Amino acid sequence: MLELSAVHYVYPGADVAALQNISLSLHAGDIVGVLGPNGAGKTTLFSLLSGLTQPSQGQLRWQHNAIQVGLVPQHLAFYGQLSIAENLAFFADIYQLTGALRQQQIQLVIAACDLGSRLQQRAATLSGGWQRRLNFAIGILRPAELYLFDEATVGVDAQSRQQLLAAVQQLAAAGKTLLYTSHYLQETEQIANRILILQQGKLLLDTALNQLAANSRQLMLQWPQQAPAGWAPLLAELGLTSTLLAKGELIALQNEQQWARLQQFIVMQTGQPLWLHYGPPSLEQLYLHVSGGQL
Amino acid sequence: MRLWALLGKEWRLLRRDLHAVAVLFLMPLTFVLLMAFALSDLNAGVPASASVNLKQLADDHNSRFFAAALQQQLTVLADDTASAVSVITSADFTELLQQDSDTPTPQVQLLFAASTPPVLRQQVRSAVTLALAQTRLQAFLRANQMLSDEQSLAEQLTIVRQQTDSTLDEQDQGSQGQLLPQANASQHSVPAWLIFGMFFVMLPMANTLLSEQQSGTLLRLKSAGLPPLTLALGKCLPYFLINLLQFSLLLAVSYWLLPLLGLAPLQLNGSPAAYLLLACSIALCSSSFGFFIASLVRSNEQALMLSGGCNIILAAIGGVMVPKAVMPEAMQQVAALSPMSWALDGCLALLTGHGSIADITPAAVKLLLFACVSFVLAYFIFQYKLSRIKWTALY
Repeated sequence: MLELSAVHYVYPGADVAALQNISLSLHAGDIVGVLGPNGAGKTTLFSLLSGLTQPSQGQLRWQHNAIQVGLVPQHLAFYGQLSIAENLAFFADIYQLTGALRQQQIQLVIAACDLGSRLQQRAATLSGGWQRRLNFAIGILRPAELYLFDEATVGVDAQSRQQLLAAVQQLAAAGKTLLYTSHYLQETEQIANRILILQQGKLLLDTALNQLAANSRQLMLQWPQQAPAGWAPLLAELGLTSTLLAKGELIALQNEQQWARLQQFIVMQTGQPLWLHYGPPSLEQLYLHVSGGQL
Repeated sequence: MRLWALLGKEWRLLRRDLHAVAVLFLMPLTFVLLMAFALSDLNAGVPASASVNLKQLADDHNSRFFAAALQQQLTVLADDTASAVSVITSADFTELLQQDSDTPTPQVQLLFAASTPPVLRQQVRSAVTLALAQTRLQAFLRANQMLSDEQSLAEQLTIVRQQTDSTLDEQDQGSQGQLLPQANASQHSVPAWLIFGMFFVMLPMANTLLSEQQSGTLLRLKSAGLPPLTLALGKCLPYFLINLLQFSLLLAVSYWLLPLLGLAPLQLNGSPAAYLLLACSIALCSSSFGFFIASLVRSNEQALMLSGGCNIILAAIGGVMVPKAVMPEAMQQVAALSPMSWALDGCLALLTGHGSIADITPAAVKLLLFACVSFVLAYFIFQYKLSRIKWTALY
């Protein structure tokens, strides 16, 4: 649906690129969790995808020309002096929804975000959680091919959060593409089927989350200084490739025999790895190792 | 449909913003009422009577006549009563009255409290000058036996007044040369405060635009593909309509409410089409200028300072607070640069001059040109700001 090829973005007057050489494809039905510490480039990536900015270099290629994008920004982007119903009606007009589709979309988001009991209440007088739900509802009100969620569930109670996450999953099931950022890694792990990890403007990892979970033979480790002689030839002999992480490396194994050979090699070394994890890593473990421990 | 939605949204936001309603409607209404009360004597054509202390160092016939003549024009109080103005006649009043010198010695000394307003000073000066002239005439008539010492002071004063009183036929003239009844003070004060109130749309305009930038709603509107021109019109048109509402409401209140309060009513002279043209010109000017200010500000503090400051400065130099007629020549030239001055000229051409469309066309053209320049500048700044909106919405 969308392809980014070697995309760079440099803010005017900045010395360092906010995004560097980003290449990836987004497909219908993807729920992509975008992770990275502050300043990693998530906001810039969202700005580019929403069409608010254009890349300094590289290309964004959409499958269709007139693609619609639904936004759920981190800010509460609605009118506090208008009621929930008035906000939804206003943005429905702005999104040029008419007739039955207008009614259908409004009813759909009211149900998805459980807003029905306070439709006439002014947004400014709602609690923080309700305001988040309204912000979310306005974002998904627009029928779009791509939805961008930026910390969409901050401050929402656990029950409401599950409801909003269910709405996200429904959108993906309907063939929409979603990019999702959240500091709640468990939440991202729950809904995402793909993970992007950004750091200092670079794409460190782009992996399918279900593959990660399904494959229990993931080895992550970090040697004290550099890998001992014989490590690289052994990996080559076993037909394995190592992905360098910010701290350490990640190796996907195909069978237990490979793991046995590697264990044998590791125990014979005088300088033991600083840490080692074998098995399916949690998203948090993966993220922390890939990003070098920066949240 | 989108523009209509933007208009509806802006109208709802304004209706629920009590501060904005107060600034746009209550404040000018209060000014109109206060000024109408303050100038109610002027409305009735009766100047307030000034009180003075009279201290006379001589007790001769001329001094007594002067006191009687002054009494006809001012409230003369006893010498020891506290008053802001004292009139002192000299001990040799009669000799000085008849002096014939290039550098005459004053016969009368005027003492004003430092805070005495210029209008009161002028009133006292005129009254004393006339009383002195009448006293001189009385002395001349007595010297020539045209007045008799047997006549009482009151009889002498009546004869002198017959010689000195003037009857003036004072009338106003319209722009086409037609004679008009004299305009009351409401005709002058209502348009000034009406225009002042209309230009205050700058403040709510700046605040709502700023709030949209900061909350991220502008980000949403931009990402929905709204063209910048639609967004700009969505900001200006509601306030243009609010300006028209202010114009109609304040004229209606001044027309109907002022007489109910015992004040001179606003007379809606001139052509109705001219009112419409003038109202639209002022509204376009103030809403475009408001959009210009709104596009400049980056914080609520700036919005308050810039919109409030601009409004007060334009009003001060534009003749809203001080009539242009009493300004020195240089200030009058500066006043001609203020759009409020053009708006005021247009209003006065209608309300006091019973004008037609032709009479207000010069003012309307200036206002519309100013509106165009303001809107174009504001639009470029607004477009630049829109182009800088990032995902975080803050910029």
